[in-house]
Amino acid sequence: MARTILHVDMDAFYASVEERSHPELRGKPLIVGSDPKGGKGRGIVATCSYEARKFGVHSAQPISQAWRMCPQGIYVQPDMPKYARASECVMRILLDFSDLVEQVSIDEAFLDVTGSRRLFGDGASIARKIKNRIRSDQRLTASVGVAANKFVAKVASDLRKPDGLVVVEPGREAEFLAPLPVSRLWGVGGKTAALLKDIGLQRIGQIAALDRRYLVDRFGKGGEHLWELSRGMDDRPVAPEEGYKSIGHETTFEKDTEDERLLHDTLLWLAEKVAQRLRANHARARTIAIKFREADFSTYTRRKTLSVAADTSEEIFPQAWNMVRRLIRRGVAVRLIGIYGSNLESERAGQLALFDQPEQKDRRLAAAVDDITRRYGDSAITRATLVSPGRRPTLNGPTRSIPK
Amino acid sequence: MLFNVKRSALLGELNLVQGVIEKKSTIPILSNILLDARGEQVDITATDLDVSICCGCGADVGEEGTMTVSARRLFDIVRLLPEDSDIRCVQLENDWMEVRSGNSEFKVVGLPRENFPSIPEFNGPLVSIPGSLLKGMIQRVLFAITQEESRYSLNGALLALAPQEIRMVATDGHRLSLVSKAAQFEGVETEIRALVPRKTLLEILKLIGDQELLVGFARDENHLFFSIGNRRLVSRVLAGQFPNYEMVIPRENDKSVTASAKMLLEAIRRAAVMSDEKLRAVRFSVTPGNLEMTASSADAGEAREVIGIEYEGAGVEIGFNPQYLLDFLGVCGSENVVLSLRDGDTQGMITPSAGSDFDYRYIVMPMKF
Repeated sequence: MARTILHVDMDAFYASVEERSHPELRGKPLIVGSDPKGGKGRGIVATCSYEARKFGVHSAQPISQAWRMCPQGIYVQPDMPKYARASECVMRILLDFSDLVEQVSIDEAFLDVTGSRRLFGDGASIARKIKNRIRSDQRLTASVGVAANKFVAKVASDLRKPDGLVVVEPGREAEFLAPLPVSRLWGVGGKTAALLKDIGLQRIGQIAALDRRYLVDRFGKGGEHLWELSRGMDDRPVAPEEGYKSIGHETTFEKDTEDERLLHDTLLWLAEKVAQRLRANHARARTIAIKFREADFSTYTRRKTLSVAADTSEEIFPQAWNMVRRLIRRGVAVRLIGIYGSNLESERAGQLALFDQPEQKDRRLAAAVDDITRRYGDSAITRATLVSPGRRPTLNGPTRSIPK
Repeated sequence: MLFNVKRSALLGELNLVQGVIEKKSTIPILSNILLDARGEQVDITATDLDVSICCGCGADVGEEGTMTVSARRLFDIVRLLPEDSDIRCVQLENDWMEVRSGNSEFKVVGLPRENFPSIPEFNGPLVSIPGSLLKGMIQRVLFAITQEESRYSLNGALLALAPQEIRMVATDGHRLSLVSKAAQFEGVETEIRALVPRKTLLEILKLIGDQELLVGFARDENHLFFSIGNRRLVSRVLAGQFPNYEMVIPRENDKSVTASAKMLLEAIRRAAVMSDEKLRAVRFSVTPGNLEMTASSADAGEAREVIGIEYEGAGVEIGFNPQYLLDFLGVCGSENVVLSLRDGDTQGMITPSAGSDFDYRYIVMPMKF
């Protein structure tokens, strides 16, 4: 029996949430991202409204480029807690239609509604019901793809944005995919697309028509995967995840920097942020990863798995700094750094410590800091190292939350 | 410099110093060893600036001299030469070394000996510690040393040498291994305390090997000196404050369980197969006469093991990281062990039952589920 999978993708999510709280922004080109600073800003566009897209603005674009294309746009800095709250409300609606909801990111999710069809009707009806609920309860719109598997559902949801609904009947996946460009295939980025183009493959249907072995010989294991996807074959289950997979923060420097002290302080500040969010989510991270991007966009990541999960900057920072320190090269400026905690554990479970030092003391300190920031805002308390004049790292990535 | 040496003699020494050589050293000279041919012997020195080893073997020295060559290259050459071969090493111009044996011939790049760091010397008297005693103690604490580089002062074991007692302690913040032995140490007037780096302990074990010998020991402000047979090891003292370990020795653990070390080890090992990959905990449930161990993982399934124990008293439940207990049971060296507990939140202590060679205590913090 064919499964019925829905992919629900919120339309211009951050921008739509902003429009909802500021109706006067409706119909205007709205760009959510870091501060453009009159075209000199260095972060990226997190998302933008469909009006802004008409000017060529799109997410993940450098904010300076967006500014050039759309100087009349309304630029808003992201308010992640607000989007997270809106996301939670949407996800709760989805859970009314199936237990099997896999949240992929803040604004998209897969649902396996195979078992709910008797209750709510076929895939298309469930998709309509979900769209209506999101519109009436949340005053937001979503695009939904309905298919027999995750891959085809995802392609379908993206086809008629915004407010789209595309249903692919079981058995007609290959037919549906055939005219689409190969870049729609999962795992086909610019490089693979160029390689495929070199051998004359531009449409998904052309790949589906090839012999499986030919693709395996040419692309190895990935070739087999390409062939399966091109025919609309994908048997991955919808796997509900509990909570976050990772918690991280990164920041792009105002100006590429070689200043080791600034890197150190910024990293410490990022470690604080990550630790705070871990604690707010009652989680601890067993794995600490860092991201390090140089001026020419060469990007390095390093990770370390700890013997015991961490949720204080005292534990996280030394690990992160140890990894970052080894990547710093004289004469090479750094554009971005970030810290990620993954392999998350619940804070209630786990290994207890033998000594009241340093973790437990750090944790008591952290709890006190959390309490103060909850009451008086993020800027109420910070480390002395981070307040010396001219040293305060400025954050302008899509991770910024604006204190209210 | 020119010397002839037996392959087997040289190989043994080169093997001993490989552990000290930094694999990814950023300072090229530290990948090299210093060779010093003098009299009837060739001395070999290796260092990573934290730990240095000086050893050597008998050789037929044609021309005295010193030079440095890559430790790894020379080791690989000597290792791969036929077993009973004789090796001839000659210093060439510009710090090159020629190595010849039978029909094999190598030219190896070296570095000027002037660049090789000088190794601290100690000229005072050394305290003698039986090698087997030191080895037994190191084996009982080594596994408890943290592997996390960032916890600097825990990257080694505390060694305390008093006139009538030797003691070692190591911890990673979650379990603590404490071993001591009463013995007379001549020349020790006040207690000598030092944090010995993990790497140093590993190298000492290697240098002692299976030999019955006395190890000479001394410390100055920054260094530890060990003489082991005709070999010497110099180590930097680990800086920092070792935690107050006396404080965590439980004094109110009123529930005392005696179990067979072997049965306990095997049961924990089996139960651990089913422990959650992330949490890695095994739940211990003690009732009169029985110890039940259970583990479960949402993905994998469950395990339940029961062994008979000597225990009369109230029941108690506690969770432990199975690996922590296995580490102890693997080295404790006694037939039975005594596990003393108080409740599910208080550290447990496990010791070998009477008749053990050492006063050995192992303290483990529980896990919460």
